[in-house]
Amino acid sequence: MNSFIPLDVGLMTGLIYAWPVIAFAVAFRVLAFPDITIEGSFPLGAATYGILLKNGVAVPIALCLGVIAGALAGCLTAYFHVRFKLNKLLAGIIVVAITYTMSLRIMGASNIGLLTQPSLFDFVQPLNHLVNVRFHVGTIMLLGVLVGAVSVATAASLSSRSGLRLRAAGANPEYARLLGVHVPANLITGLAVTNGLAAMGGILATMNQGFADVGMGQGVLILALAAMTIGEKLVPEKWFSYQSYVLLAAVIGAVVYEVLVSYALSLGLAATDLKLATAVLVLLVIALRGTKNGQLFLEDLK
Amino acid sequence: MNNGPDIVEVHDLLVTFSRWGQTVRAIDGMSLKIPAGQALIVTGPNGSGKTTLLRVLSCLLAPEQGEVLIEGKPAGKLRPTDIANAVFHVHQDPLIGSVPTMTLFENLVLADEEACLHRLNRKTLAARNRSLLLPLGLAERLQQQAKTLSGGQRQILAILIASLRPAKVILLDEPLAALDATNAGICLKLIGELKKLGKTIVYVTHDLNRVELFADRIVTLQDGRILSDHPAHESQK
Repeated sequence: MNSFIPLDVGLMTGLIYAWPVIAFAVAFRVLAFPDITIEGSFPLGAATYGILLKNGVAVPIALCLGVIAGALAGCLTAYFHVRFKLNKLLAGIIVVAITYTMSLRIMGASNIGLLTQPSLFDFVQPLNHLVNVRFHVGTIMLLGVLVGAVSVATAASLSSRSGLRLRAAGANPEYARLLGVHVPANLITGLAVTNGLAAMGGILATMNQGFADVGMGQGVLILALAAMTIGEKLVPEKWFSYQSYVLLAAVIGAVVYEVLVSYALSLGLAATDLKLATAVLVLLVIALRGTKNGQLFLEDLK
Repeated sequence: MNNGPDIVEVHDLLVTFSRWGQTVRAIDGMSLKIPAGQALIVTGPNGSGKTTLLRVLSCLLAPEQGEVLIEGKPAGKLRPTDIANAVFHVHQDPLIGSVPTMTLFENLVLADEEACLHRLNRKTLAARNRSLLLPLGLAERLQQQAKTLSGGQRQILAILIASLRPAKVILLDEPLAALDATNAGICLKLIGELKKLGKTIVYVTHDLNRVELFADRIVTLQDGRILSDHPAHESQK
């Protein structure tokens, strides 16, 4: 039965980290914005949620305000890019630095414990004991439903008329301007939404682990890149609309990556070597994508 | 030549660029009036100011001096949405004229303001867009991404998109450059249909033979100035 434990852990963490992966994939693939802000909005959402919860604010309100805090970080990155013509990566780096201090200031410490606080997972705790193995069925189901709902909602939004305008602003800004699309406003809106999603991932991670930590965003970017790359390798693009493909690849990639990591750790991979292993995995998958797609991937990063 | 009211007016236009430390007058005191529904061909050697003129007319570039009036209103005072509803620019590069990651259906829906106003449902839109693509040989590609099309097909899509826009003025910057004869023929047919729709066309080209079917007037530029301006039939004599 012990062989199920890494699967249990992998599914839970995969469905939690699917949020920042979706955020990164949508920003990167739909808005053509390699947004590293998720590394800051993820802990910022967690910090805001954690401190509010600690001060007696109800879970739904704390959750909404945490998401808004992440969204504001996204707005700031997009604003720096459109207002000061800052390079997309540089704008992200600056905002990650800002959010680090913001998270510390908000929490008043580098971490806060929330083990005794209520969370969304309380509602599904009874389900976790239904099966006579160590498997968090209820938690996984809740996380799956949340990720599924946000994926369907995002795909539907990106297919709507305003979603098409947003996609045009990202994929072909010169053309979007010809259509009267306000490119800066769309970019700011887009990154607000994606970083709100990343913040939601941070909040769910906080609920799951029982504490918020200022350093919990470290490694989220490389994780998102790895998961997106794996997902895009696994999901056949021609079977889906572009936006569904991006979202599905993000979710599947996140889950597969986390399950692989869990099994690798259970088989003896040292936690200290995890980032190196991830980097090798990303390079391997990019190499396996084939020359044509590999080149496209590199061009996108410019 | 069409004698409708002037839809575009350019008065005493001056646009300069700095090149190798020297000021170059890309457009030098140009004045031009374009009546509604006219197909104006702009020709001239490289560096004569053709593309700069289109960039000024599409409000992508503000002149240092002079005035551009679109439907009697100063272009500089128009909001981006007003400009988009008045002027549409088809670039020489086919990749600029559509969104690569969108399907042809999505590209057409995005451009089609009229369909948006009438709140047409998805089924009606699909039927409408399929009928638009059918004579162009692209109906089967309706649900495929624009990036899967060839350069020529992308340019056909860009000109089709221009026909769906509410803009009364369509600017075409050497749209047939680098297109094969088949795709160029389809593009020319589409441009002819733009004219039948009553659109005003400003078409920049080096190749006057290709535009004789729909051209009303030919303006030749040199060194940012108008060298000649005459009805198209005079040049065919």
